[in-house]
Amino acid sequence: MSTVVNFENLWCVFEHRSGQLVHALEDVNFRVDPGEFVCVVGRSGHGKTTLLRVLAGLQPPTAGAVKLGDTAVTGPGSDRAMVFQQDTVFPWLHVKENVEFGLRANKLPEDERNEITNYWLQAVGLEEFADSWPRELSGGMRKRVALASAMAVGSDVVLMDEPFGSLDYFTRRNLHEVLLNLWFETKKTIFFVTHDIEEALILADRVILLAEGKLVDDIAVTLPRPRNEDVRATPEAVGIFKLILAHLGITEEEATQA
Amino acid sequence: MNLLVRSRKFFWIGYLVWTLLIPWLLLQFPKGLPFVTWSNEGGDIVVTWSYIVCAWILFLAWPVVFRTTRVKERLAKMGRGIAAGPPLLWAGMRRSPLFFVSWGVLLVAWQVASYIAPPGILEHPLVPGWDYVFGETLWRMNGDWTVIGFDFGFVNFQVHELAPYPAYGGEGTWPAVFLAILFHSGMTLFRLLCGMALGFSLGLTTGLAIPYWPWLRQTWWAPLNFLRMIPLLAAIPWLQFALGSTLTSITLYIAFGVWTTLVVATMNAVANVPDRYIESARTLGASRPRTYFRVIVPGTIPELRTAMLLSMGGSWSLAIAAEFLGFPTGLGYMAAVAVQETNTARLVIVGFIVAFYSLTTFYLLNEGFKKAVSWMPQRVTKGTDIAKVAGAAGTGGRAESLEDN
Repeated sequence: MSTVVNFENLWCVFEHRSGQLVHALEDVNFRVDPGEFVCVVGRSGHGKTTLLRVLAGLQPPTAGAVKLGDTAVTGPGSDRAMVFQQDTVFPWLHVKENVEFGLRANKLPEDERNEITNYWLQAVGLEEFADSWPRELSGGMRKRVALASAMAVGSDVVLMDEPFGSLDYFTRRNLHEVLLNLWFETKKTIFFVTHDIEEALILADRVILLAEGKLVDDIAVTLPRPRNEDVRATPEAVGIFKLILAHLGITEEEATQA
Repeated sequence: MNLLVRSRKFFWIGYLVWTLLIPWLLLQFPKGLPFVTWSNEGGDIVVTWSYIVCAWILFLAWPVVFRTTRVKERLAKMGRGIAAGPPLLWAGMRRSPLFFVSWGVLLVAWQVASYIAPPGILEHPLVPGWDYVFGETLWRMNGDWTVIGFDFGFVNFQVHELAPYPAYGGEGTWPAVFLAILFHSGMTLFRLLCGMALGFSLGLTTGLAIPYWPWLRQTWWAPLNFLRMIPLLAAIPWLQFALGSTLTSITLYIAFGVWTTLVVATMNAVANVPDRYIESARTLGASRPRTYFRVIVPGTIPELRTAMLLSMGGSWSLAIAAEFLGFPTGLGYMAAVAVQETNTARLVIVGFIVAFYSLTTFYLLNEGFKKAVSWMPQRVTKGTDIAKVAGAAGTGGRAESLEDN
């Protein structure tokens, strides 16, 4: 677990159909140390997902680079497994085959594959559903499958693009716990995109704030874990919350209404 | 597990070998047995009805011996199905009386129309009544029983003992009617299967290959797309001039028709696989070929299901059209004879036969697909789509009727 991720003068510009240039990312610079849990927070359309897609190698930058250690990212790879906002569990594969997918792609021997798959199925609490079809699982369970698939490939860096955004409050809280336990155990570097400030406060070591494609703040979250309601009600947590709101240009009234 | 796989392989390979051996085995039966009425005349097997019954018994013996439990289960299931038939029919009549009423009205209206319609200038009634269709006209189909034998090279079956040939002065019989329909529909089915097998293979291969290799699209898609635009009916005489009225020509013709539909459907299905699956596979380390064959290809199956079912329906039309225009056998030929004789009743019979086979093949292919895509969400109720959106007013009665079943 020794990969440092560097965002160096990263620009990402798209051309709209009207010919207008859209600056999704503008000169983004920051560094993430191994094992950090980083939440990228911002309003919709302010570059969070683009940042993650560039890191995943799914979107080439217009200028600048993302580097893993000394190597610039040029395309997708299993060293940066990703959990998507939408449901990406392959419906034509059983749960176990889904978790195994990346391992097969990386040509691991069968014994090793089985061992790793069983471990991650157990880690996300789905060992009893190994032979089920994804259609037989709930939305939360399918997210666990996606999480196990991403974790199982053994990458140092895991990217998560609003993975729990479509789930109900209770399922989301449960998955936060699952994710944090896995992170404590593996100490992988996690990039977690969210627009939910509370979610960022529960999960993150650091919050990277994006507004209109620019990095506007990089906030260290030093709250003690587990970050239950009491912790999130402390003056320090409330301060961070308000700081993020202020950066995003959201008033407390708007936040309460949301 | 390995033993099971081996035993399954053994079963099917053994079944094939056993089936091929049956004609030889039957010739080894002692002549003195009362039911042995067949004979071997210098390598030509003279087939009789007892030969067919014995061959059928031997054919069924293999699964009875090696899959006894499964055969018992199947028989029990069939028995339950037959027993459940009348109550199901009755329940269906109570639930959807309009369905049965509309069929009844149509059948009766046709019969009434046959009495009151003007006779027209044709030799046969313009609107033939059911009695005329399934009485006299069906009976006269015994004239189509003209098959002398089937020569497979290594074995030659002579079938003149099965029924006399009215076309050559023999007496008309109902077995001859049955054999005529069986022969002509068998020919059509065989041609259809050959054409569909080739058409499906070519359509799927081309439709999957073109999106995978961009150079293939750039070099080949324009001429292939042009070829696709050739009117299918225009291709029949062209193929006949080139290859004659042969199995090859009709196979190529049906295959071409299937290909034109399936190639575009496959390419669209590939394009419609959601990007999220592809991106997810790539971030999990899958190579381009692996992503294509393990993600994109399975992802196309739901859309291909519809396309293949439609292609199959289309291939029935193509087979009948090709036979109609230039083949001396098959259901299309029977329809052509009906046209020559201006025999509308005969056309009705051919229509019924084609509809029966078409529905059967549709059902079998659909069942095959259901097994192949068991991962897809299955329907949990028998409610129609309109029932799902009918709103609260309609759901009460519907739910009640479903619970009844």
